[in-house]
Amino acid sequence: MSLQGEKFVDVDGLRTRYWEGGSGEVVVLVHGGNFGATTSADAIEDWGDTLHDFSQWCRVVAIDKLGQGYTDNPKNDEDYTMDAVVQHVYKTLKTIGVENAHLIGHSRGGYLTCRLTVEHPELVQSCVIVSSNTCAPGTGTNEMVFTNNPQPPLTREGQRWVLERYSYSPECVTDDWLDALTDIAQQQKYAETIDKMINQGLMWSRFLPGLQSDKEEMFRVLSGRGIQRPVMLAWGNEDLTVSHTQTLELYKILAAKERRCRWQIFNQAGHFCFREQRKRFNEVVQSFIASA
Amino acid sequence: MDFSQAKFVDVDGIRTRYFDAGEGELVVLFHGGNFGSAHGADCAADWNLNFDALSKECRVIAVDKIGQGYTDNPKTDDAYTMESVVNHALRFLEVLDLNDCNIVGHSRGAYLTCRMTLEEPSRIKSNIMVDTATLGPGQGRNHIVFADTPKPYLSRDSQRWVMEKYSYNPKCVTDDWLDELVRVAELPKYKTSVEKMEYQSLDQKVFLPSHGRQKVETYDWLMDRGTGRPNLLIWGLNDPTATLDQGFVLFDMIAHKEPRTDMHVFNEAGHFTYREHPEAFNRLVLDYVNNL
Repeated sequence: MSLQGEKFVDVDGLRTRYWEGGSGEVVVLVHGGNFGATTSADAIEDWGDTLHDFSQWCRVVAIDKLGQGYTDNPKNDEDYTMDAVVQHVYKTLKTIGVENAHLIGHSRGGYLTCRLTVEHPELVQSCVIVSSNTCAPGTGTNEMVFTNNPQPPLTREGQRWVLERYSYSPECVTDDWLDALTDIAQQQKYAETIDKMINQGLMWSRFLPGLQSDKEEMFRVLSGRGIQRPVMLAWGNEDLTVSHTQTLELYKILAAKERRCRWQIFNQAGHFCFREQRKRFNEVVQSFIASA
Repeated sequence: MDFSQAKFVDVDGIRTRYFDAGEGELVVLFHGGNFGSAHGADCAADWNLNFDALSKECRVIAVDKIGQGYTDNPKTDDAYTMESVVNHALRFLEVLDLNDCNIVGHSRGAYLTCRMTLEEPSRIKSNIMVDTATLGPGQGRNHIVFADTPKPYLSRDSQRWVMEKYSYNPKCVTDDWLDELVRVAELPKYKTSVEKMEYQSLDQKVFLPSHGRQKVETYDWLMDRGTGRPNLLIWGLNDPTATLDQGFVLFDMIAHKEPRTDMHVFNEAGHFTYREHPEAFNRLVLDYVNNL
């Protein structure tokens, strides 16, 4: 079943899905995960009711990242990188005419929004990074948390297991969300990304090493001239995949050069804190953006 | 904050100073410090960068705690306890017949608001706590940070030195604030309380031991049953006395039984987060109470 109101746009030959609603200042939502992931097939649908909550007070633009959701896969092996994902979101925003926005990124998407803020400050008014060990220095705990996940991967029940492990309460793993992610994982194009990332090993030969050097480069900028935009970390207290110690390191790097740096922690919320503390997330982000 | 607009009310024979302005949601501010402190004569004026702006969007009350500011001292030596401070504050709400109070406590005042919420929640709607080693587990660092407080104690220069030590940016130590702290310190009744706490050692004999015992009980209550009210914990990254790691452990304890618990960290903020970021602090608090 397709997402009501979804749109498609051609971005340099890549058919790209996005969703928009509401009016006012633009808030861009970037989901987590990566192409070829065997844990969950993340996409715009991760945001759930947040799309509608936000569209009450701003113009929300949510994008399926390169190779995820219903956006086309990278055209060649060289583009199985985080950098290609970042550039694709940037070009998508340009293509649909977004010149200035508040960025909100979750998990791997949190790294992406931080990176975009560093690369294109002229585009960004403020940046919210949500539960992202990808954006933080050090090692995440995903490998530990998701050992022994059910096989075969990416079935409806397999994804349920993963998303419940991510969460404080299984209640946030709703049927409509699972339906959507199951459909996405069953596409031929998704199988191709698994083949590339896992079977051909681009995950270890290209994606992760590239991300590591991109991150170190980003930290040098954050520690040098700073992010230069209001920034907020929004974290779930019970996220097994990111520790507060790791987050504190990221916070200190950002805070050293940017006064307008905040950190919000939600109780009884795991990795998808915007699903588990939906009302508070909406309120806190709206309040932050209003004062940004 | 116009100090000439002070009001006074009799609370069980204790003449109590408070400020009351604005309409709407009720926010009651409780400052930090304690009677007879030789370092700083904290009082309702601690909030002078926040009070007027808050009063434009809500009803705000700032009260001098027992024995501080222009509020009378405890009547007997054995009442130089935190228990007296809690009882006086709870009775203050009763005498003024304040309901649905969003109580905001700073430092020792945050221990107070947490304790009020645990002991007598009927008039309390939410509990907001700011930078508190008094409530946080373990020891604060005040005895280290203020070891070299210049003499004569409580002079203008000495209090300036203390407040600047507390702060990330010394600019938040404003002249009008210092003026009021010096006026308070020169009151005969304040000198009496210093004499009792510092020189007759009621601090060592009565105040600290009773607080220590009550703190254990407070943690038992937090872990057994929780506050029963929404909590927001606000912390400054650069607080030299109440450290952020203390804040995290406290957050976990408060969050353990009360799902409606948030934590919010400010950058470039020492102990007086609300003085270093008055606008952003007010916005956070107002949006928090208006969204409850």
